[in-house]
Amino acid sequence: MSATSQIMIEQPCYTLINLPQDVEQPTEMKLREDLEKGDNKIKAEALKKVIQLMLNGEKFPSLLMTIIRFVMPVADHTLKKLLLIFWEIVPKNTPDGKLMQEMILVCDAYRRDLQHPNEFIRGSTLRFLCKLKEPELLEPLMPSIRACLDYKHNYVRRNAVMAIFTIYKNFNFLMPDAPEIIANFLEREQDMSCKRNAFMMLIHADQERALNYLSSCIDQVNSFGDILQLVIVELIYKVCHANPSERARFIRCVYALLNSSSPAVRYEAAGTLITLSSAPSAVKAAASCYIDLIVKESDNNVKLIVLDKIIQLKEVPSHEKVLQELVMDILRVLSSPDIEVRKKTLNLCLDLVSSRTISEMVLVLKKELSKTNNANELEDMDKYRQLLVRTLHQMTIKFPDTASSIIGSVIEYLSDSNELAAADVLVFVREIIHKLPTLKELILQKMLEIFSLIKSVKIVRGSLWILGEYCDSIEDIQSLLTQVRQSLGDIPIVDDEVKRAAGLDNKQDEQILKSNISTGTQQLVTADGTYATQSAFVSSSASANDKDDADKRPPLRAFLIKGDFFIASALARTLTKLAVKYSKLVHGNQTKQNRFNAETMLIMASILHYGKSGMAKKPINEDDTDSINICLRVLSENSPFVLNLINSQSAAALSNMLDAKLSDECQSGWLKQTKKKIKSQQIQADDPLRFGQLISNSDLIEKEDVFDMTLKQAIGLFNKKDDDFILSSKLNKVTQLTGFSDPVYSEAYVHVNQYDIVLDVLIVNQTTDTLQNLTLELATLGDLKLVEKPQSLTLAPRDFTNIKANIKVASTENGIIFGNIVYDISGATSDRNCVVLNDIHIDIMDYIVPAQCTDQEFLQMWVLFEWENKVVVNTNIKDLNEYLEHIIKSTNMKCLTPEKALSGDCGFMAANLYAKSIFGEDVLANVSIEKSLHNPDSNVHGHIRIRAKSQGMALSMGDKINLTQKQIKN
Amino acid sequence: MVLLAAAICTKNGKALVSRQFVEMTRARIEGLLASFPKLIGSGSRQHTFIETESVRYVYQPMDKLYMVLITTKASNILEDLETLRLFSRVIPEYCKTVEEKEINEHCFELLFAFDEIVALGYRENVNLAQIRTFTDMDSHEEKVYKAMREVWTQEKEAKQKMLERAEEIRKSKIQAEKGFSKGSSQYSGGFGSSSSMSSNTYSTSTHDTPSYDSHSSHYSSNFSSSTLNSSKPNKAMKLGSNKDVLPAFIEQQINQTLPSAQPSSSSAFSSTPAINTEKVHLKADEKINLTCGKDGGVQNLEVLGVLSVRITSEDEARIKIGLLNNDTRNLQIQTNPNIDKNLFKNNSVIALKDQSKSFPIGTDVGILKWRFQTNEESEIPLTINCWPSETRNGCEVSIEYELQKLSLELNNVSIVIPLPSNQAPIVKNCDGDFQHEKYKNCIIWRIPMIDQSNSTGSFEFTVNGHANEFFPINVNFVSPKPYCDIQPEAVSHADNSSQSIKFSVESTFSVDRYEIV
Repeated sequence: MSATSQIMIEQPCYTLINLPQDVEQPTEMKLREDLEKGDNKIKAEALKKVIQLMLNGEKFPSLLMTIIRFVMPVADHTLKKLLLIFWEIVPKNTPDGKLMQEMILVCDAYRRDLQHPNEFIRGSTLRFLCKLKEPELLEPLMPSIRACLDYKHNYVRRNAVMAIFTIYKNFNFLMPDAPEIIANFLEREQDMSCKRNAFMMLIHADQERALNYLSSCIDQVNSFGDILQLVIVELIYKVCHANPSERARFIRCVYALLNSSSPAVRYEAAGTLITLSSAPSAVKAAASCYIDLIVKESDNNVKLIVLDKIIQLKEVPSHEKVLQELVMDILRVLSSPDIEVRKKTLNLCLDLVSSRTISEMVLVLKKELSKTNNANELEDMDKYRQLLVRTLHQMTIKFPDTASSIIGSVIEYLSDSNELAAADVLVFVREIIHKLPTLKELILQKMLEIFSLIKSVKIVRGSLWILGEYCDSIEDIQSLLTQVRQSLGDIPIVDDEVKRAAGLDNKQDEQILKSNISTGTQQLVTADGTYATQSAFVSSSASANDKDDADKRPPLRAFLIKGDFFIASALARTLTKLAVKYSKLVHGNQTKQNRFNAETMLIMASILHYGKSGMAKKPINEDDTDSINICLRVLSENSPFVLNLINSQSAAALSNMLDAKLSDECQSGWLKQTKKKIKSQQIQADDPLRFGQLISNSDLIEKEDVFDMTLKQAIGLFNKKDDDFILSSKLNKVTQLTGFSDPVYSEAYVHVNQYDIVLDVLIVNQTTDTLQNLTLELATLGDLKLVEKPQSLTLAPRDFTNIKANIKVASTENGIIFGNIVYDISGATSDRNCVVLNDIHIDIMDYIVPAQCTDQEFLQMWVLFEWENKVVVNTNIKDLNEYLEHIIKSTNMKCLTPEKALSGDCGFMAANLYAKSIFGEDVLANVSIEKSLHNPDSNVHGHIRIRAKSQGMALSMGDKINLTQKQIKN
Repeated sequence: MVLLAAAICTKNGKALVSRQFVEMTRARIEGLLASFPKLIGSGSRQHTFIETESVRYVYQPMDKLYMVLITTKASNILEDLETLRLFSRVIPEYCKTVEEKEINEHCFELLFAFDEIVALGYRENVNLAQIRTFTDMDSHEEKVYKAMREVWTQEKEAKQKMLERAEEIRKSKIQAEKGFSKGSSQYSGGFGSSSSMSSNTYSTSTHDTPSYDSHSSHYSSNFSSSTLNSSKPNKAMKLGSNKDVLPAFIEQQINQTLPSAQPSSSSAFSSTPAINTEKVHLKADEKINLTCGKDGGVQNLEVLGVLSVRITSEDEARIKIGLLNNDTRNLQIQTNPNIDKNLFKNNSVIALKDQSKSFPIGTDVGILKWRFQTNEESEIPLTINCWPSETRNGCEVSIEYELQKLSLELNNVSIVIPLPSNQAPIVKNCDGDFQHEKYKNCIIWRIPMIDQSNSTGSFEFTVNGHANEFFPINVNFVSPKPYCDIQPEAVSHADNSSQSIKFSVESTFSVDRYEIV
């Protein structure tokens, strides 16, 4: 019995049709009546219904004969085609694995259809035969199928070739001479589709013949149609894989196909060429072909996938050299507007750039950067600009010589209204100024020029830090202070604001504005080449309305008015640093020192005053007050310890940070490399040695045929788990469904595959009666669906059987399967008996796999996801790390917070966890736990927040955590 | 390159219809389809493919639904996109609106159409119109087969009738013999009045009646050869009793009779008036094969002609035929190997090489072939100028024809213009009449006759579509006047050239292929 149910489950499925839920389904009686008595239209409708219901798990064994008797003889075309689908899905074997008697009748009908005058009926019948897996049925049809090979319509011929192909593949004893027949057929055939199919058959059945044919027409390959060219490329690929010595024969053909008129063929040929030869000229030809495809095809899908191909190509070290020469060609792809494409291209180019091409590439990128200015303001434009800046940054790290030419044009973007790009520029500038002291002068000068134009508060903050840290000369310090003063406006701020509120200070205001204009102007070149002067403050006239009052003030003042006092604390620190440096520089001159100190202190004090005055939109908060106070104190006290701290430590901290980042990158890079090495070095002592001179690129041969491999992978044959042999683990998953004293005992082994659950149910008849019509009825709760209803069966006294049931899982949610077993006792007149089964709970952990994402992505998702489940920590674990480990282990999540951040013992801990279900659902968790430091015996407490897109996920995950917490407790 | 499945999904992942092209389990395909919409959410909008560890999805959003293809990861993306485009164009062909209910209603039509696009995971080289043809299953062969069957049953009936009549006649003969009166005239007259020509065929095979020759409509004369040599009455009886032999028999006939005939051309043939034939009947049959570009320029113009003779009387079997070749164009003329070449070259007279032999009797014998090929535009008998122009509310197509060879007289002209959509076109102006064939997606412009009197004509309509979608245009016509000016002038006895023999001439000029691409 189990064998048959096995067959039922593994039957291939060719069709899925959704059954609308709201429509009343007709009964079997009604269907039978329609099939018997209706006219052709009604019959067709009824047959459609039957097919739909059968596809959704119903079984109508009794309708088979009705259909054979009343539908099969009808000549109507639609009915004929519907019948073909019906024959596809109808079970053709009896439960004991033998062919049903009725099918003999059907077979005769097939034969007649194969001789039907209508070529389309012949063709579709032949196509159906590809799916027929019963040699008993196929055997009597063979002569007719052969005859169809010579029919005058190509529609029939091409399907006949297909049928012969699959029949030969599955049951070659039915037609042992098929390759020969097809080869002859190919010789005389004219139609492209037929030729393609015949050729494909030969590729799989008899490569020798396929090759012979190909060599006979190798010069005309270019004139063939695209679908034929594609299979020719496939043949060459396959043959050369199996038999590398043939390579030379066909490589020219592949070269020729690189110029095919069909882009699909070119793509395929390029891919094959690379596997055939690793000669630089071949790689170059293939890569150029790829690049050409990317540039010419407008479709983004194509661009991305072909780019991936080039990236793959890059992985091979010998190919990388060839690609390096093509960098400039690859850059042409940047003309595509899609950000994804551009990102991939830039990354690729960055990896490929060499000292020879760097200067050219910098030019191109700078040009692209300037293009982003005049383009319409799209969201992607900002991102693109950011990408470009980032790429330039990475390029200067690789090739420091280029920095001087880049930095000038990049710094301009600090004042960009787009924060993303500006922030990247800032990071860029910081690293350059730290690493390349020669450029310091230039950078400082440029930054001072642009300082007053910066619009974003974050960028101002970052620039202040850089300027404060690196302004070392008296002139720089003084000009920075002037800049700060100008951008703060008149001091003391409170008085100034009061005056302004009273409207008395128009004149002074204008003065400020004027002074700003002198620094805040930028020389621009107009279209006709003359210099135009434009001021950032031209638009701000004194008579403007009050609403954008804050905007009209100098930038720093504007921030303060808005209540953004964090910038004030940053400013205070910068000023302190400047003051300390200044004192050092002029330490002979006490007056100058004092004057400078006094000025900085005045600024700080006036900001502090303003913050507390309540005139700003938000008052200053305590943290900022504190930090300004500290700065004031540092300046007034002049303690050498703090001074040292300020002078040298922050620079040291930066270099530490940059080093850490670098070593991080190095490590990951090193890991990659070692991985590569390990892969290539796994050679056993008794492995044969290969000589490169004797066998070219032997490693290529070892690769599996990509086409077959991906196909297997896709159908799901590839990743079968092998852990079944551990019997103990299998037994762990057995669930008892009924009691030992029930008339029917049953238990189920729950096997969880990727998208489905297989229940292997053991049913034992514990009575001395024969149980008839014993049916396992299953129902599901949650996102589960029963694929097929198990068949009813008869169980002899004390007999047992296994039934398999497939259940489909659609999302990660705690599911429950419940049901009952119903049966009749033979000879008894009572009603049907019923045994209710225990529920089976499906564990979601089988679907959750750890995943990795960046912090930014995490934050984005955290904001985006609607469902949050807050779980209170309730455990008897006494160590924070131990608790986290436990949670990670029990939920299959991955900890995103780096280990360094979690080390140490400070009594509290926060960590982010992330996982993905195999259905592509994300689940995030944030663990915030603490433990009293004073009481080592106290338990860990705190909470875990879980966020997910769907409610089910969030809830199930919460349940899971609650459950595992308790388990530890017990 | 391997396409695993094509499916139509709702946005939340319910698969409405899915067709798999390789073997895979149900759980697998359902799983793949169920995980698809979740994967979409994370991707950006700029591209329409998703890769997972094992497969690649290529999809196209259509209103509230997705058309999804599942392919292997090594699959050729360019090819897949091409296929996807075709798939998504198929859907509106069968469903009025792209929404769940419509798809459910037409799921089987869609499945059938899907099957035509992909075979075992490989794309077939088909276009939308071909898919239509394939799924409509409108087979000419079958029609012929049915017609044959009808004829066959009619034959059976007629035979039955004939037997009855024969019985009657026999009885009346007996009576007549008794009454000494002549009954045979009555008998043959009875058959002449019978409208079914097949009954006539039968009558010839059973009784050798002279009425056979006088009755030569194209249909029956073509048939007669096969019926004559293959169907003796007792064999026909046997066919009737055995159903399985019937298709083979009829197929054989179909193959013999209609090698490449199209329905319209055969109907055109049948409508040409029967010509009174003499004992020497000459027939000139010309076929034109023309392909010209839509922007002018002849890609290929070829006219093939055959002159055949049919002699029905033994007295006139040894003849000479004098030809008048007025054609100044560069014709390639070929004679039957049995014809005296020199005589023909020098005197334009056709006679057998061996003067003592005679022409075969009772069959058509080809005696002369000619071929004319050119790229000259002026030689096109009927120029078609199709001028589609795209406007805001569709595409305005104006077509005009011009008869260049004014000597011709074209009958039953039909001009078939393919339409990009099955929406009915709005016709503005039409010389002649037109017919919109919804299923074949074309419009047929018919002109009963074109000659000098109406040497130009035009036709205008508006329909949605693009300018290049109205090609290829196919033209069909027949003309009783020949294209090449080769005419038999006189027929005389082989020995005695002065004695002329009466003869009849029939010439047809028809279309083998006439395409504007």
